Amino acid sequence: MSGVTAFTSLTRETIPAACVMARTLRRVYPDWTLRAVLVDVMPADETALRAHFDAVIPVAELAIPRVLAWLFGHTQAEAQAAVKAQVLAHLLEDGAEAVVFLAPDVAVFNPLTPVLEALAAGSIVLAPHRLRPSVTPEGILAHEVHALRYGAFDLGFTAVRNDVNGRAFAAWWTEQLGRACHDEVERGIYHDQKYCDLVPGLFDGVRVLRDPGCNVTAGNADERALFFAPDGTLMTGTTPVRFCRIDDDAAVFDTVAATTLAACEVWAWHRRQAATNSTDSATWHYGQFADGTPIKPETRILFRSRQDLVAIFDNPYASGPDTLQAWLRRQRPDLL
Amino acid sequence: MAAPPTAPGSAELALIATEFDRAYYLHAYLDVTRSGADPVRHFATHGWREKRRPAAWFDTDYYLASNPDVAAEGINPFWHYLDQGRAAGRAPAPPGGHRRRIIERLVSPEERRRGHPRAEEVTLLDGAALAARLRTACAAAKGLVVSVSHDDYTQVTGGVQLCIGDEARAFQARGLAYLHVSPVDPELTLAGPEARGFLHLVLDGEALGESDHATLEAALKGVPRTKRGVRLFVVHSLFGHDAERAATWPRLFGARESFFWLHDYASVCAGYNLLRDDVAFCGLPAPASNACMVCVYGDSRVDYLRRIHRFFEAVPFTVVAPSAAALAVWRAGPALPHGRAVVHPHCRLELAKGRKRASVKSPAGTAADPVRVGFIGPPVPHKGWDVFARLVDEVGRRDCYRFHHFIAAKVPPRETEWVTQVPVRVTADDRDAMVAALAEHAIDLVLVLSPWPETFSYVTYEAFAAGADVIALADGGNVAAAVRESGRGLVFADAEALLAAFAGEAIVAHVAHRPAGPRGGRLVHDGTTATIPGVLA
Repeated sequence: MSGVTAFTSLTRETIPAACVMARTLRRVYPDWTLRAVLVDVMPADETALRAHFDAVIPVAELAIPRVLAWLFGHTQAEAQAAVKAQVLAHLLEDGAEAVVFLAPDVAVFNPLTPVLEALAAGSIVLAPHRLRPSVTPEGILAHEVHALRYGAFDLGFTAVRNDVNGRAFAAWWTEQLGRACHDEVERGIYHDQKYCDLVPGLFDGVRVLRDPGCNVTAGNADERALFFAPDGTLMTGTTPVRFCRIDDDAAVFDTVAATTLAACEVWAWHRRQAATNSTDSATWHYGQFADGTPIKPETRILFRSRQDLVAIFDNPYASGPDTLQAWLRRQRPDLL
Repeated sequence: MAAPPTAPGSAELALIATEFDRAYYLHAYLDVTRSGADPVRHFATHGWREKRRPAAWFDTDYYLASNPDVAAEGINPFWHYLDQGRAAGRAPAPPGGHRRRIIERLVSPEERRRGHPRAEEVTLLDGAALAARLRTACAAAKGLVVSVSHDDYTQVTGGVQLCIGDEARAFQARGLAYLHVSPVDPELTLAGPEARGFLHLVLDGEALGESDHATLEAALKGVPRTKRGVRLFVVHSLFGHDAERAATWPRLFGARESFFWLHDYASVCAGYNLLRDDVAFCGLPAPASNACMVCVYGDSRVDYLRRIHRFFEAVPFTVVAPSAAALAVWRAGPALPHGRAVVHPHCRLELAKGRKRASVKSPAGTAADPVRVGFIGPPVPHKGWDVFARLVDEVGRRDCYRFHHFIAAKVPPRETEWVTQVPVRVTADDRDAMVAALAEHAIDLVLVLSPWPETFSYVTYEAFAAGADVIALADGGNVAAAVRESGRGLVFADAEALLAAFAGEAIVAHVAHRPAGPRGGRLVHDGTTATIPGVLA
């Protein structure tokens, strides 16, 4: 499959990790087109971003009506997830043979053969968080019950072929995420992820990626012990590791370090690699008002639930008179 | 304001005392030692609040940080761990152990270079004076040996340095002048483009001073060439050197033959002991492998190998391995152009004839007559200290063993209740110091647990000479090979197998029935370039 476009969704904070993703993907697939949607403003130094991606699309350039008002209704994680479906649909319209989404924290180690095989046989490929049922009460709580709340598939990865099924999925997903891509677990919504529990029932050609070498994460490293084979291939069981999601977090590192030496090395390697791409500012541009006041999640919830406010304030981030911030100061100072 | 420490109850003290390492605590915290306080009571009252460790294996700071419920309750974390944390599966220290600590602190050889201290001012030798000195030395000699390594063998004590010292004396004894060249700025890789390129020169064991490349190269060019003169170029290590400049040296002084020693594997990877990320034997995979991609030495390996390959292309080397095991590993790596390859061990063991070690009988493995186990050298992971430490943690309290640590100077991790430290310094003037110390303490087994293929393990032969057997790991290269060839010791597939053997009865049984018996001998240190057959012909 030659006309594959891969893309990611990032903010300035995740540029260092995204560069690792891009570098490792290019090592295996130098001919794939690689794009990034930047849900942020461009960094002062665009060098790393430009060097690693064929195209970088700032969120402001997406076809989202009144994009600032739309963004204001989302947290950073929500916004990063919300743009994915629309970009997927756009890339399919643009003629890509297949589109693969990889989160910025993915690192590719070996050819994504199981993914390409699944795309050859189907239309939509999803990767579950885990591959084996838990057997202890703690395990069931940590994995099965967790997946029931947040979604069975890990949306750090999605692959879609450009066919009837793939396009139908992209259109449906775009509609869902345009309506609500939030962390509202009590309402049955969790970002872009929970919706995809419905995908195997709603669409034809869905393939569940059960290859243990795909989507190795801190959350499943205990069931996929990593090691290096004598020829240096990163393996789990008898399978080469294709790609991992590598979050850089102290607690995550503890979890991973408790599994195998190789897993510990992979996570530490990612941290070192990302450090070489560190950028100027990690602060999310859309995380504060123009005067620097941080925006609370409750403020976002209020804004998006009040269509009157949405209608009035084209740029809810503005500071000064006749702004959302001024309105909040008068009406809801508790939200500032 | 924090509540004042309350006195621990007797039940709390009793539980803590069951696994508290008094010796460790007193060695680690000298203020407690000086105060004369009871260490258990001190820890239970103040020590844990000050994040002190009750034993090497329990990280108080980590336990509190990773168990906020314990921290919030103000409970002694060690007591909590013993009382319920262990049973609940809580970790006493960061998961991954000491290897994780190594992995998290890894820096590339290039970054390490930036951290190396540099002599600020270097006074360079006068070119004419250096040339005259070298000409004079050569005029009075039957030839010249130019040898290259990573540091000044007259100032640093170590296996390679002792070997170079032996070599210098051996060539001098045969009437050859011996010029040794090392970088002024030490590095753990080849010199980079920003290197100052200053070299430290030692002629016939005497420091000449510092030179730049041009001055040394002019002096080498001026060496008188007689038809009968023997001129040899010997590379012991290229670290810290400009490989491109060094490749020109043998031509400059007309070297008849050049030798490249495999003291380590730096000719196939800057990770000279082939420990991926400094923690596990890598098996020398291809530079494009996942292992090299992840390894801290992997990023620069392709460029590094390109430079090394050009160096071997420029100089027709005879490759010298101090063991067949080292040569086999090296040959499995990237092919480098070379002439012949020879195996030439640094020393030989001459067994004492028909005599067992004086006053020694096989130990019974009892409290009165334990199996005496030794670890030699600095407590570093690439020598297997972590396995030794685990072993002591697991079986150190058993009466059937007594553990010793032979080391040049007492260093942390300090002596514990279950390990006796024995200071020993092997020098050029006292090469048998380790053999004597092992014999004096009647050591039955020496653990040489290097997790990488050692090219030549002096301590293995020192152990044999002292009448001890050696316990090795299968990846230990020359160590494992020497044990297998001699039948003097045991080789385990991995650390787990070794720990299991110590936990069971296999070790005591082995020592009691050693096939070779505790037979010692004498080490003859004559394996240098000077004694390679035909080298002086």
